[in-house]
Amino acid sequence: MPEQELCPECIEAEEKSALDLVRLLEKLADVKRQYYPRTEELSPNEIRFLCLSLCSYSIGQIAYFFKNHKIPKYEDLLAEPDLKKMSNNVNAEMSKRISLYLKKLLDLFDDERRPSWPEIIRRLKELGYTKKSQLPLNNEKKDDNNKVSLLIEGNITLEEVAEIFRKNGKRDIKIRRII
Amino acid sequence: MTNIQDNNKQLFVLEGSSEDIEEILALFESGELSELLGVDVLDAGLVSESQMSEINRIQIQNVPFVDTNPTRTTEEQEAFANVLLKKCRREGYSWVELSKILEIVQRGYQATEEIIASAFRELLSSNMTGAVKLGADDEDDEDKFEEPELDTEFVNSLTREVTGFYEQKLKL
Repeated sequence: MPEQELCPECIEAEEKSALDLVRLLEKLADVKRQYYPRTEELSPNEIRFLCLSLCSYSIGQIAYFFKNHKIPKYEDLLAEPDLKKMSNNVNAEMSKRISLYLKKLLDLFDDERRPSWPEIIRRLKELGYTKKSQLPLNNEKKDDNNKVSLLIEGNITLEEVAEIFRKNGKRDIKIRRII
Repeated sequence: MTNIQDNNKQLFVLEGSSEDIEEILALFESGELSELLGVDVLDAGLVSESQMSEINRIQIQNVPFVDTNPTRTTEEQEAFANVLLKKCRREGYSWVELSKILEIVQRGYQATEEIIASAFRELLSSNMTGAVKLGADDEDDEDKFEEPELDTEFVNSLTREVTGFYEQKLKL
């Protein structure tokens, strides 16, 4: 696929992950043909799922995007009643598709757990999918994966969350309750 | 704005080493995080800078109003918010409303500088997708429209004024 045809999500993914999306999409399409010989290219939804995941969007954000065609804010996610169901559907669909092709590309077994997205990005770079023109400086801040948000349904206090993580060896984590 | 507090959902932010954070993400993706915490984890994701700004804004909305008397009276807070409003207008942020500034001033009593700055950043950039008219007399002149950039130093100066507003009185 020529570079000028990259969709906005692909361009964002390329900027944020510093991966060569054109080469990666071509290679994943090759892998897809091993599973689905009658297809030629990745589908638009497969490409969007891949790119949004490479941008570090959460599965909830991606599922919301598929339904509403926009990246949600936390307020949107909190107000979405079917978030978990939507996320499970997207996960189930993509585990047979993009996740499967990626595992093949990374030389993993089909039934192995897919690595986390930061890990996938690292492994793809090791395999030579780094975009040549990408300056390392552009990624300094974005590689700083040191904060995670958890959207929880149910009764649990900040102290209980902290205690559970502490008991599981996560002693140096700072936790804030936002809502 | 969506009401985000009328259900049983909670939002937490965890900060740690990238190894720990990625491990937590992996636990979520495998479904083990819900088991570990004993509650339903609906979503987990890395937090970007823009999301951090939203988080801080949500936080200031959840900072409780407290009775600041005798630190500052309501009248003093309103007068001070008016001063800040005029400063915003002078800098070209014409869409900023007094009520929004007053909310930051009132909740700023208990908020950290980071949260106050984020609230101002969010407020001042809330209309930046639209163009700002520079020349009111030349309505047809397209060249007179431009998109402003958020002035970080101005945000910082407003933040310092809010924290100083309470500190100054406490010293008296």
